Amino acid sequence: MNPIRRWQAFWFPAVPVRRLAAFRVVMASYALVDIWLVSGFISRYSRVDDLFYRPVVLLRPLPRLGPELTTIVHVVLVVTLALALVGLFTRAALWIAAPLYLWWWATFYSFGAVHHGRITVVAALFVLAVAPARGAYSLDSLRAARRERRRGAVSVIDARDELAGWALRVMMVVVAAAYMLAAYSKLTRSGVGWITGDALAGAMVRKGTPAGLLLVSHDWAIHTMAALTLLLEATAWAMFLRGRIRDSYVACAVLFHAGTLVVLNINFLGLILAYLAFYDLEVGVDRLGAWFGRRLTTQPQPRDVRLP
Amino acid sequence: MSLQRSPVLRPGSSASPTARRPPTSRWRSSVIFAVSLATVVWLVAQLAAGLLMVVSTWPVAGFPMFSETRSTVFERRLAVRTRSGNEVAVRPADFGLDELQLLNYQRAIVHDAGMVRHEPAERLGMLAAVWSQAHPEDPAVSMTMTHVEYREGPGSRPSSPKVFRWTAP
Repeated sequence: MNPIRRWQAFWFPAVPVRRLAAFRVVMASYALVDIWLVSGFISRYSRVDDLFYRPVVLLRPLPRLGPELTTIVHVVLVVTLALALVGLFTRAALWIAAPLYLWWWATFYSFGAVHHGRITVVAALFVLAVAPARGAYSLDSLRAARRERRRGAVSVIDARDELAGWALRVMMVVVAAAYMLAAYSKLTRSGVGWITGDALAGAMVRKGTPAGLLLVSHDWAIHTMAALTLLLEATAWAMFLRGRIRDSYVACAVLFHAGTLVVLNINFLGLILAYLAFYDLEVGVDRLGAWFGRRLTTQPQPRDVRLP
Repeated sequence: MSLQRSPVLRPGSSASPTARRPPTSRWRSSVIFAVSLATVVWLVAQLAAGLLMVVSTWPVAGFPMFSETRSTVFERRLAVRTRSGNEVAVRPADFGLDELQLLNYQRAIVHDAGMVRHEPAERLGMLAAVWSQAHPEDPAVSMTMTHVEYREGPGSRPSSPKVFRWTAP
């Protein structure tokens, strides 16, 4: 197989559109909650003095928005993410939501502190906008099915698409790259000595969580955590291996992020949800549907009544 | 459950994986080509940002967090003296910032390890001006930043503090 074909085969596997649609529901839900309930405080940054505004490269050509326009962006984001979640005018909604979500967080990161927790969500919104994310679990797909029934056409139940495969593949690479580039930074700047250095201890002191302050005086605990962190980050490629290796890695990574939340107060839920790109979500949805179906159709059994 | 495990079928094809593929439209081929090209560009940019550990290019950025060998433990105190003579501790919320954002502004004045960067008094003066805008009834006449370092790690004896001061002309 020549390199171009190999490239196309890697990036564009035809996968069920339902898989991508389920991924859309998860990521749009997260983004909606994130914008509506978590990150509303960012709108206040439109009032922060220019002295602190050091825009990320992306925002440098753009003017800073005032409070009124920022509020409008916030409202539009909530509405478009809600539409993306239910799958109504999905593509248009995602094409509006993706750049606005990017702008929203880029604005926050333009005040001197860049975080990485939302990179996967930004990437997800963009690839969902390009790929056929409205093909299932959406009002758009219901409307399309109704139209086809009226015309007498037969709709494909389990349609597959290369762009759906591409979207999920990009997410896989984003997730794996995040870890491996973090390991690269540590190894380049500090080498393996990072494990026995006190970078992690310093971060714990700065963050000042109760769990972090409890652990920080135990060198062995800090060094063990540092070693496990580096191991986990450097072996992120294992997520491309199927079966138990991947499942074990994902379980460890989820535990790792639970640990970073407790010890360092760093939330990577967006990254954790992006692990779902590695899995056959449509199978999970079917199982969940079957389970609910059984629960709903099971008749309640009359209990034996024992008289004393 | 994975991408590879599923048989590769084209959209709209019959259920058999051996079924002949329908011809791809020219529009569809163009879209795939454009997406493929965009993927190459993104991949190169992501790799470059990752290897150079640049974060200002977010969301295509490196991941250098906590990668330094030795993290200095330090304490910084920021205070203003107002026109009425009050000594007031300055908090990130006074500027509408969070703790890390204000800390990173202060890092432009003095490095965590104590190295002094250029024009500390001017930078403090700008900070004091913003603080005064929010407190016009009693503006700042001087601002002081105190930097204390704990070289032997948390809980150890502090180094002698470095004090930076700006006073209104």
